[in-house]
Amino acid sequence: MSEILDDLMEEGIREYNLCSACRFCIGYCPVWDALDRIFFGFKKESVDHRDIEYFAYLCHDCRNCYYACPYRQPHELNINIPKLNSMLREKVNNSYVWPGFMRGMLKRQYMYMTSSIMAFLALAFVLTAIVGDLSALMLPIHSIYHVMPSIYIEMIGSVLGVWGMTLLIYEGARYWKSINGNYKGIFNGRLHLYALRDTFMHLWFRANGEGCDYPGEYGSFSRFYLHLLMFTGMLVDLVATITALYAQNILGYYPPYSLFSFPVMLGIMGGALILVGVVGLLVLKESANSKLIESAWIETDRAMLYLLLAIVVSGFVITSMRSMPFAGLMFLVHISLVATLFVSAPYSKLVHIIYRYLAVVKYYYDKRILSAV
Amino acid sequence: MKYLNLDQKYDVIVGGGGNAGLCAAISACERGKRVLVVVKDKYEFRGGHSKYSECVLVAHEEGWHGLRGFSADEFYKLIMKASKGHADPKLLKFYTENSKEYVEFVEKHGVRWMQDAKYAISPYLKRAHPALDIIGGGQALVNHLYHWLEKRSDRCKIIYNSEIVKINAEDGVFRSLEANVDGSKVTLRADNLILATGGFEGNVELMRKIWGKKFDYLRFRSSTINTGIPIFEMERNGAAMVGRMDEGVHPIVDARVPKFDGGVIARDYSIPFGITVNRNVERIFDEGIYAGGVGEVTCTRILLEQPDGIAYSIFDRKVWGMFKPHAYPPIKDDTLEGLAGKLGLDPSKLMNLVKRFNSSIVPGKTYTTGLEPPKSKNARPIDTPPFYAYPLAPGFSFTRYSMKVNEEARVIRTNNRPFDNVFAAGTTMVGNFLTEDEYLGCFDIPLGGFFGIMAGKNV
Repeated sequence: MSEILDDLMEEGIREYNLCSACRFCIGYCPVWDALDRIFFGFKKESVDHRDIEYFAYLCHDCRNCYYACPYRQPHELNINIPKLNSMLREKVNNSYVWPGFMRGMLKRQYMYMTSSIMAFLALAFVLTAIVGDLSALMLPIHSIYHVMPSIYIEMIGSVLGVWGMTLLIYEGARYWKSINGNYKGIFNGRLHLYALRDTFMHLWFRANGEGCDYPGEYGSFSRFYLHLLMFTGMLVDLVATITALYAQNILGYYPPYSLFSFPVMLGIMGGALILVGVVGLLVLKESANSKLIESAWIETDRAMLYLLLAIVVSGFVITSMRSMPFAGLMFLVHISLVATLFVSAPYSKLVHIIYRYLAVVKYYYDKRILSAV
Repeated sequence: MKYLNLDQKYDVIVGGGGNAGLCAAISACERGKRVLVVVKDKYEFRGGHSKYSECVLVAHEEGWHGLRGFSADEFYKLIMKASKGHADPKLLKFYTENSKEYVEFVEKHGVRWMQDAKYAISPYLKRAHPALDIIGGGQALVNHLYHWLEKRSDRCKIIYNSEIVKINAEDGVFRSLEANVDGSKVTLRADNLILATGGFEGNVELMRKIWGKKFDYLRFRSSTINTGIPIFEMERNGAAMVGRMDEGVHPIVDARVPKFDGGVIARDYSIPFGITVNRNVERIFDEGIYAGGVGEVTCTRILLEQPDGIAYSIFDRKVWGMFKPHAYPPIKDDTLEGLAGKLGLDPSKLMNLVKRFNSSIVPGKTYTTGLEPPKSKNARPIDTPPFYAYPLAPGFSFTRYSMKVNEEARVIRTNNRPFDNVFAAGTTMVGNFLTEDEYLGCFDIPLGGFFGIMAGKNV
């Protein structure tokens, strides 16, 4: 990533080299362990741009290292690792965006998302007019499929989902190439098992039992729980969608499903979890120390949280106003929001999923290389 | 200061906001006392010299936090040896037998150890003695303690930016003290005074007087905040003192660190792995003894006597990655001549020195023979390019000129009777154990904190 070889990279090298002469933060998170490995394991003379990029996403932004640092501002050595990492993350995001002209979108999330929602809404109207029944938008409906036949929803949803996923993976592959130098290790299943375990357990949101210094100065588990709720909610909703697809396409039960059916119950549960998580994270963000994060990134974060909030709320609205007027219209809004989530995945906060995951894989990869040596 | 009624009489005034002072304050606060903690630093810099500490060494049984056993008796002998017999035997016995209390105390207030980290723990963490490493280091340690006190700010208050300037005591009884609180002079009264105000390593004027020209060679690991006024005030009020004024030179540091407040990143670990030469390309000490403890002090003292107080640690590629690197990159070259050129040393002299050094290593062993000074440990030929050098300077950690105390942490007067209500903890009393250029890593923090706890108990 040649374009990152600039002042910021140099500052990163300065700060991490300084950290390597101290290492009091070992135990908070894997970054310090990985830093140790650079010198004692790989016997490098200095951290380099690959390590810096790798640390940027291995960092889970728990901020304990900032408050534990006697060299933080106003000390003349001026160490601020959380801020540095967030600035680097922004650079990483920009560098691997594909296609390149979408780069600016990360900073113009609201504009991008709003236009995407509008576009999908317009498309949905047109499609409804052609293949469905426009009047169903306003009248009480028996099934959402009166608005638009399920095959269109499934097809468009799958295409957009696969497209978003593919781009994410492609961006991730470029990131891996950059931090690792080659594609070695990326297909090692065992490493992925470790990384998945860490991701599902949110292992590194806990600062080794002390809790993250987020949003305040002292350890707290609030982000751990809230992020975990949101994450679990998304998985539950994914399962709900799969269950519905299964019921419909394999078993042949068409909606509407009763409120107490499996897909609906799961959907409501997942939605509730996401709702609590998203609102909680937005509240935490208000009181978080903004000196420790790249300011442009805060809005990118927030935009995604708002989008999720809108999806969940619109989902709840449809569920609660079934067979009432305008449910059909609400449904179009909901699917436009979901479609926006899919297409914005590679150009939004969601990129952190792939980058952070791969940084964790890299952590285990390095560990494995060294123990094999 | 409007929230604070300074005319109010407190049960205890604690001077100092480092590890020892906070332990004392918490210990007194837990017993229902009203406590005022007077911290000289600003909020942003709080933690005194404690914030640069990394580990705690206390006596413990086998397997405690996964460490090997370290009996009170072994601990006692270690300190006695390190102090060359200067330590107060009764006090030392009391401390070594109860030292574990400190760890239990800080653990209760949120401090965690790297040894217990189930995850992301460096396999390269090794130490000569079985000490516990603080996750987040000393700053995290004091943050945890501050956090506990802040939650009880109704009874136990902390004032920052406040300096004790005068202590009034008569006939072994503390009466009041004068302080500069946020720039205004106030008189503070309390039934007890606990002094944990550190040494006087930051007293530039006094240090200049003591060290003369050599002051310019020294790199101070601490900030200029600790001026030692409370210690000297107590001396004026009849406290018995132990230790010398000209102590604290230790360890050897990178010459490029800031003059003050370089802290933990300043320290050099490369010396035992190479040779150390001065400006005249002469080896100056046995690098093998520079590995923790008393040897470090001896070597730093020798470095202080060199021209301009400068030396270079020179080593080669094969030892890279065996020690903690410096915060600043090493000076590097593929040949020794090139390296000498970059350092401004005589190339032929350096070539000859290295050649002589390499040939004097006893084959198959790691020590030299027929070399003056010898290298008694870890001697490996310097022959694998690239070659590296770190510029070195003598560092200064903290002074040890201290008040004499008893087991209750009560300050002893020159007439051998204790003060009624004055206690000392931390660097203000560490001289009772280690004086005269003695040093032991991971020792001061639990010691200071332990006597802080004792002081808080006995007020």
